[in-house]
Amino acid sequence: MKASIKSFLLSILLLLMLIVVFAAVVKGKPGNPIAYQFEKSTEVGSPFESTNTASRYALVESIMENGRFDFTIDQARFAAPDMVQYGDKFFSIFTPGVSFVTLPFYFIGKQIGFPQLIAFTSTIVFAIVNFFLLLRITQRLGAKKPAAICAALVFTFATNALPYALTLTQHTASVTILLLCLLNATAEKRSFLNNTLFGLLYGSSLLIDFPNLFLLFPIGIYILSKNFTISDGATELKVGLKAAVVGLAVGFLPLVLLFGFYNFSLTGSPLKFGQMMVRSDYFDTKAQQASNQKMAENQDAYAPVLPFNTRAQLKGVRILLISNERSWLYYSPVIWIGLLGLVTSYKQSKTKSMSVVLLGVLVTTILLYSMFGDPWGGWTFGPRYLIPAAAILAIFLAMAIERFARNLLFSTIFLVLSFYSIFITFAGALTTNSIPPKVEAEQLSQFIPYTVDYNFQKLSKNESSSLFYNSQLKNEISLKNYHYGLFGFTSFILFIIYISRFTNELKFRKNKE
Amino acid sequence: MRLPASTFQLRIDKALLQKLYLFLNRHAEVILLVSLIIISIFNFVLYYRNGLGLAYNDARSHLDIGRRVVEGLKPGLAQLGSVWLPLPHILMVPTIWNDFMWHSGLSGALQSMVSFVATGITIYFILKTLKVGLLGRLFGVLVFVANINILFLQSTAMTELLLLATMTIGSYQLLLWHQEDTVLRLIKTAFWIMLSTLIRYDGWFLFLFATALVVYKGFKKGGYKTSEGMFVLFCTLAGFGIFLWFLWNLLIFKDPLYFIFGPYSAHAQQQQLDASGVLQTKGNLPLSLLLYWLAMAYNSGAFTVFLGIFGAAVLLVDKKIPKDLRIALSALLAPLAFNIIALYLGHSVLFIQGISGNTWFNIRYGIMMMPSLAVFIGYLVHRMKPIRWLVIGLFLFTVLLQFVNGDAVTIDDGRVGSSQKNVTEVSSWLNRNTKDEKGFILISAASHDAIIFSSGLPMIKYIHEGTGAYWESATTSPDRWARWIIMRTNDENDQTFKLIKKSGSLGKYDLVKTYPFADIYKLKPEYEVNLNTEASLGKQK
Repeated sequence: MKASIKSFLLSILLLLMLIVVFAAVVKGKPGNPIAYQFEKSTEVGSPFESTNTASRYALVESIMENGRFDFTIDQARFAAPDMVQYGDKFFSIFTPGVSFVTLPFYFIGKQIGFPQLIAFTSTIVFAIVNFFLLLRITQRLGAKKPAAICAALVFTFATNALPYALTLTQHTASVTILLLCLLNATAEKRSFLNNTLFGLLYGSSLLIDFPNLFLLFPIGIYILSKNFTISDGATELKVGLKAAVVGLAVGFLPLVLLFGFYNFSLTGSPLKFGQMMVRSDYFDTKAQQASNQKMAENQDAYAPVLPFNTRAQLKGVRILLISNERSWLYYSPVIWIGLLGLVTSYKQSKTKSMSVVLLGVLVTTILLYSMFGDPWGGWTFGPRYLIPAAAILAIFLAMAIERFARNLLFSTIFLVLSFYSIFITFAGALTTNSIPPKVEAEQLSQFIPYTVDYNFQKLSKNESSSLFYNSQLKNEISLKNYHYGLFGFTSFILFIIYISRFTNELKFRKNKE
Repeated sequence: MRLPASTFQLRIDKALLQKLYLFLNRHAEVILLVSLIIISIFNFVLYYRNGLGLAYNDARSHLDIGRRVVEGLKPGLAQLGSVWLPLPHILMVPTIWNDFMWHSGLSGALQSMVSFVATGITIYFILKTLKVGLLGRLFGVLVFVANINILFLQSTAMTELLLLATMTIGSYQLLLWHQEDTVLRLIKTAFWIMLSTLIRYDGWFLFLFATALVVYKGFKKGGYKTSEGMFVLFCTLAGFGIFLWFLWNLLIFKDPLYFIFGPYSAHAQQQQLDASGVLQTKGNLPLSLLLYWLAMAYNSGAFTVFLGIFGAAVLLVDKKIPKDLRIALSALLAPLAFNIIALYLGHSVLFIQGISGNTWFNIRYGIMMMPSLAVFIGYLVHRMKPIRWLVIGLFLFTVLLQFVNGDAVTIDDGRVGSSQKNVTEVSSWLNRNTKDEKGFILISAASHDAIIFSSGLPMIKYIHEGTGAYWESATTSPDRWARWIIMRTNDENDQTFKLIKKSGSLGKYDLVKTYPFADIYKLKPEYEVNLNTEASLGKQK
């Protein structure tokens, strides 16, 4: 069979696999015929359990139903506390990009009576695109197909990218833009077109989430540097700047203008936007409002002015990288193996410069969010702010697999950690993302565990968020068994693809002989 | 439409570029010196104007000690006391006689500013000795300079920068000695380390550490005899300051160990803290490590510390640096070892907000590794060419955020932590009500130096522990000598209260004011007839 047909068939199989698994975990429950389509329940396990999803969905609704960017009182209540008040307008605290891309999905969904379900499918589409983008990038950097697929599977199903692919948050789309930028950066020559494309991507990253501007900055610098030419003559040095560099601005400006227009319509200023404002306490109790007012009046003149504070860095690093509350160490330890791949890529001259760029994005992400006042990300599953960093490490993971898969110790560690990570990830995807931070959990009148134990509790109680399980299998099998089934299926696929690398090598050696 | 290949081309004459590079290389030190001086002066003015330069209670005490040497009821070198090592106060003597130099803090800050410049230049030279390129050298200095805590401390009369300068220069000289192996270089090393031993006890640890390095190198070079000779030569000079300090305590206080066991010693303070149960690090190595690690991270920046550790590791394993030099560079780790050991032994106290309660105290101790981190990071940038610009970019990013947020833990300690004392109420009252009236104020300098400083009154107005016969007389018969008494009533730690209580004369005073830090008593008018208002006891020995 021709290699291209084989490759195409493999892609179709992978796509089917992704669709099946996502369909098995997408959030919902039976209703009329499916719940949450028109009622805004924020119960735990529902699609709207988290207000960062609710706020973005409220904006989608506001645009589609009211033709406005600001909220009605009901929409504001639904989005609270992730909304701000400016004058007499309530609007989402978040940048509008995720809501904008959800609009066509919502429209289609509304036509068939499932606006929420189809709207949320937008994120799943991005998650699937991310899978294939990872394949492309890792292969471009030198990983063969099995290693690339393993890495993509790990990112998609062994990190909290999966549970967040079922929400309307910025993480999945941010990863898409990041990976597209990386793909763009690997282009051999900088042309006007690919500069414009990068500009567009960079502009859209701002619309998706403001901190993306910083996360993608290393890639931007790398691309900008590639637009310079230096020729070393006998008596003079010629530094040239390609005309194509204009494409960066051409691509960037329209989306910035769109963002400015959005801000202007809400605040009267193109530069004033929700993420730089204080959350509204309009729906808080009077006592809480009075307390907020007092705090604002007594604020220390030397208090930090930005949401990113260097003083918080140590705590943030601990929370994100090693704590049992949110870290990779407990939720997706397999991703750490990517560091091995980082070292390997750095040592090879072919991949050295790209690995430095990737390292820049990785460290910027960790640095930035470790300095954030709330590294937990609220009530979340795993380190949600590090999802883009997990994608970077997944790329390096492919390099590590490529290099060390022959090593039995490496293979054992990789597979064990992968299976563990997949097990944890599906526990989150099937139940809830809303795990409280320790400091809040300890204040609750009814204690909720602040680790993945909470998800295991829900598994034991058969409290699932999965639409398919709730509507088709709830009376047939326990949620635990359903969890084992999905875990087993995904792990099996990963295992088969991983060992196929060996069989390919054996075949290669046999042919050589 | 095809765009032209380039719209902008810059042609640079290579000869000019080469000239520029040579000029920079040749004059880098001068440019650096001028830049550091400008930065130093700018920051002093900034912190002088916003008042933070005098926020630290200790800074005011240091200035008062210096002032008491030149002005007061019993001026003289004996006023240097035994609480702190004497060099910072001695250095103030040429300038602190001037009221502005005293009350602005400039007399003390001046040595911090000079030390700041000296440390920056020394970092540059250390990196130059390690054959680090111009970019690495300048970046190393930048790491040191672009630290708000350093910039703040160099604007104050605190002793950190002076200590950093002498220790860093001492370590640099030690590095050069390992390279050159000359007697003159060893003497220079000993000299700078000797100076550090007269500033803080961190210098004593460096002295021991450096001695061990000298002995080790001597032994490797020529066996026991050579190492013995080097040991004697080195210790004679480097240890001279320590010897002088023991002698000073013997001569002035009749006890060579008075600085350890005296009533105002750090040991006495530590004992009190231990009794209150707040000396948590004593005997607890993990906690000592944790607290100092946190102190370093809060002072230098977590990312900077991480880069420093990475840089140190690269330096340690780099075979391009001769083994001897790498061993010599271990002196840069002396502050780290000292502070952890001091915490573990209970000789040092450090509060971290959130761990040791809700306050900061002595958090500035974490700044002691800053020059070392700067050297390690400068070296890292030099060696790791492919990630050089990434490291520089990320560092600048975090520094920018630090400056925009004004994240300076040393300022917080001085503003709201346990290192501050807002005695404005007491000192303002004194300034308003005693300035124009004759008579002395009886006060314990050990407890209330901040009040003395902040009152703006001349030192000669005060009778305190260091005034000899005046103190003895005033605490026995206060109504004969003190028109006003400042003390914390019922606090046995306040020497004034402790002694006045015994004299039974408090009934002759009216309680005029009660403030959080001290009470103010004034002599009743009917007892004024016997009051001495002149310094009539003459010159005391």
